[in-house]
Amino acid sequence: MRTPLRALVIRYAFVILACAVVIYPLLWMITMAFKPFPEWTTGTGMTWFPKQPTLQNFEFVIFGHAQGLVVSLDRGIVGPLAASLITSICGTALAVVTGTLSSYAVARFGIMSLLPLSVLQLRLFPPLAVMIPVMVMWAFIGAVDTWWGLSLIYGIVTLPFAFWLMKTFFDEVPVEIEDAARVSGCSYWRVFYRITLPIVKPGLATCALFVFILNWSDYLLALLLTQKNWVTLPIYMSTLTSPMGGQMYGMKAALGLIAAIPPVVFGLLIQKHLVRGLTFGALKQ
Amino acid sequence: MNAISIQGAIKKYPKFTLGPIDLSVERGELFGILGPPSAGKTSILKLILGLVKPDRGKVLIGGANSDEMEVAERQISMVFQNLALFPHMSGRENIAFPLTERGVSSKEIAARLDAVSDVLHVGHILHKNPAQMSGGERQRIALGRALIADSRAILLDEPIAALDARLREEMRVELKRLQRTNNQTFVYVSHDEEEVMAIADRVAVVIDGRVAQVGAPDDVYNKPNSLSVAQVIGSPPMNLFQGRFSADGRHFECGDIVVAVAGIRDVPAGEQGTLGIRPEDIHRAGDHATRRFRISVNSIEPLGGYTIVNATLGGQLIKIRVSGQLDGPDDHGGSVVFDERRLHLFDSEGDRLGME
Repeated sequence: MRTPLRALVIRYAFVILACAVVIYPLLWMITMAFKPFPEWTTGTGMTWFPKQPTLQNFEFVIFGHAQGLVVSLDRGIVGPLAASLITSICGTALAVVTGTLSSYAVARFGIMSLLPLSVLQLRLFPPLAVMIPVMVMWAFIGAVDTWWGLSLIYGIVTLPFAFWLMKTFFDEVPVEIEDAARVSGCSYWRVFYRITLPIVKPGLATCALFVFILNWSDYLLALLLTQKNWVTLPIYMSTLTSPMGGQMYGMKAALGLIAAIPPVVFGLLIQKHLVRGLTFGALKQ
Repeated sequence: MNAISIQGAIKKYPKFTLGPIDLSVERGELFGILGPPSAGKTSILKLILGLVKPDRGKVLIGGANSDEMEVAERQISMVFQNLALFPHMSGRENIAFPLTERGVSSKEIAARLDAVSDVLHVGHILHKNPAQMSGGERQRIALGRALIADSRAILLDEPIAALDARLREEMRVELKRLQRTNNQTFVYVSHDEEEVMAIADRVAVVIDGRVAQVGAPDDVYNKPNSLSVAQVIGSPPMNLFQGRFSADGRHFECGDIVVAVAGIRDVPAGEQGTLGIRPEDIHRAGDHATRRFRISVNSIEPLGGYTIVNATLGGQLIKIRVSGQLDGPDDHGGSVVFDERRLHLFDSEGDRLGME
């Protein structure tokens, strides 16, 4: 049956609109990253593309200062980048490992049937509602402004997401496959390691990427639980203001571009698993 | 010694109770378990495998109580209904899996893999993943995984249900050949009676979680011990007429249908009962037939070597199986007779009444 022309036009109009909503900020960020200070605002007339392209913004965010600029920061990107990488990776590992093991236990053995809802409750609280007690606890155990303190809270906050996502993947694996492995001589652990985990590998990759992005883009937790030693990229970005020029849009855009690289690289590395992970269970077995 | 013996096993599920089950499977036997869907057939296999533990009773494997045996220690293989191949492994890895997990040397694995792939003709697909195989190929790989392990017994849970009719028939013959060649113990589960009856040495009919009858396929077919077994066995199913035994116990009456039951012992005179007659035991009445019944033919189903006639007798729909093909509905019209040597009579409880 042919789709009527009007429906086709409306459909494509929506698609183009959706694309524009997604692509417009990205384009803005990319072009802004290469614009010199005078082109940041409407003062000299805004243009899409930089009239005088420059790498000064990148130089500034990488080293904390740049030639020809009077303002400077007390740090470059290396510290915040390392802090973000370390805490995001550790937090992701913590959430994915605990989420995978616990969701497997619930999905396969039905133990602690209330656990899924309890875990979900963690996500029901607005983070701000629990941050004061968390800050007190973190201060008590000496976890404030440490890599492990931030990693720990990242792992805890993203655990419900990892748990529920992995549970849906485990639910999709027919129990007979595991029974077949047990009949063939595998112990429970060996079944998990040799059979189930490789089957849900696409799901695991998808889960890890999503959790990593959540941790990578966190601002609130890092703001409240770090001071100066473990400043992450989003916090570093918030310092890109100057008393004279106000918001340093060019530098923020340059930092945004650099900050987008790790998730993109991660996504590319697991690309072949990602497609299967996103469609896991959508196809008839 | 029996290969497998289940003694009074009961397993309770939230909405279903299996058992008590009493069964024994001889070594080298092809034992069939037949029953309608959700009757508990797969649960019996899980009891044997140790995937579920009985609440009461016990399962003996090779004469030994299996209570303390782990699943792998039982040395029983299984072909699952959905085959349960490992999707991330090649055909070769799938078949060899039980051996690699048991730490068998790679030299022995290679030798046994060669032997199994020769028997199953799967040498050309060993490098493929299950997703790249046809239904029949996957079937063979699953069978190979069960065969290679040198098990005490192989359990097959509706293993060919997913295949098309032609392939099913081929695989059925091949399974029987494999079982005979290797003199292996097979427990074959299916809801398809034709499948089970065709290859099993003995068959157990399972209905509502209980073993209703065990015997040779012919016995179960020709002498179902209860109404429920009679209803399960036979395709098309047995024609059943509910009626009453005459006061003198010499006849069974169901409206206009009256048949002599003089040769049957312990007839409950004057009580209600059920008369059963298989579709192939109803014949067109000859000129001299005495006890004839008028039927009206509704439709015919030509099925090649035989034809199913759908007719009405005494206000009840019946099926008649006729050899060969009919030219049209009128070809079997008129009157029919029942083969009185092959009547099945059941009392009001559904138990079979004995014949002399």
